[in-house]
Amino acid sequence: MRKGIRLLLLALPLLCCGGVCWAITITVTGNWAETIDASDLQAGAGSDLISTYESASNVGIVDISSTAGNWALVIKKTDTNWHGNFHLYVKRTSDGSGSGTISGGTAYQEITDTDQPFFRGSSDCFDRSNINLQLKLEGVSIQVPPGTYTTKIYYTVSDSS
Amino acid sequence: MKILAKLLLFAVLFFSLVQVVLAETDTKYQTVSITFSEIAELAVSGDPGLLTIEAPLVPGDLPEDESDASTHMDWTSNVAVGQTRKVTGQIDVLFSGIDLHATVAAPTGAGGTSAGEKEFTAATTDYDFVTTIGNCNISANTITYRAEVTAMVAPYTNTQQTVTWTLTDDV
Repeated sequence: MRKGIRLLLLALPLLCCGGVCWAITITVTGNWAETIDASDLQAGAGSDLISTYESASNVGIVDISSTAGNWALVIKKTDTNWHGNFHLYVKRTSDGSGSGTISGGTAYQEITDTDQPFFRGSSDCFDRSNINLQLKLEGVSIQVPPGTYTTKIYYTVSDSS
Repeated sequence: MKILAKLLLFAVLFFSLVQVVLAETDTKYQTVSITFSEIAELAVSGDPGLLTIEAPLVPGDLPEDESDASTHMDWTSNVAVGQTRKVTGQIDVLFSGIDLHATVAAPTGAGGTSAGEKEFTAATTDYDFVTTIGNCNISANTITYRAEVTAMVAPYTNTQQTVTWTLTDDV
């Protein structure tokens, strides 16, 4: 019995320490608000609206912490009030800083209603922060009725090791 | 001692479970909001040519009508679901001895419905020239003016009146 207790006493700190490492977390800072009005007409009265809009190159800043080896990020959107003509894209514009590696996601990809791989990395018990994201909206035209259209982009990070 | 062992066992199991829960995934979101403003933009290409009323071919007749179709109108409009817009025209002062008519050509699609030729029978009064305008952009839509002599008056030259075109809610 005493031997068992000693083993448990040895295992407990290891498991506790391991728990801190494995609790992978993601933080996403920033939202994108775009206003489209008459100043966005291609050539004044009689013309259609410019169809494509881009956010600032750092409209989203992602921090990922406490990774445990390989990790991967997937994205999807959930519409609150979105127009069917709109297409939303995202790309990663910086590697951020921190240990390990990061790859993928540097070209625009469309965000759909189901999770899709975005980018991935590898780092053991370390953080990677200040990964910049840029968004792009396509499909804007005068055919879209006035209103406020909203969607949420969900970023899910997971250990893949 | 047995109690201590049980406590330790419970602690190990607890932290193991916590690891399982925390180790899997984490999700955050950001919000994208697009504010799509109402747009009602209208432009005309310029002033029509000079309408010169000449002597009739047959003595005793009134001079013939004169027309001009050298200008056009452009508009871009979007409206809330269930609403439409219209193009109205208004002249500031009537010409002496002349009735001025105008036509805005029929636009395509959701560009609206042309009312055909309309006469400015009163000054500072809006007349509907295109109605039921939806979400559209219409360009180079011809405006035709027609001057109809209704009475012989003393000659006058280069008399200008202003026609104001407006894109407004169709209520």
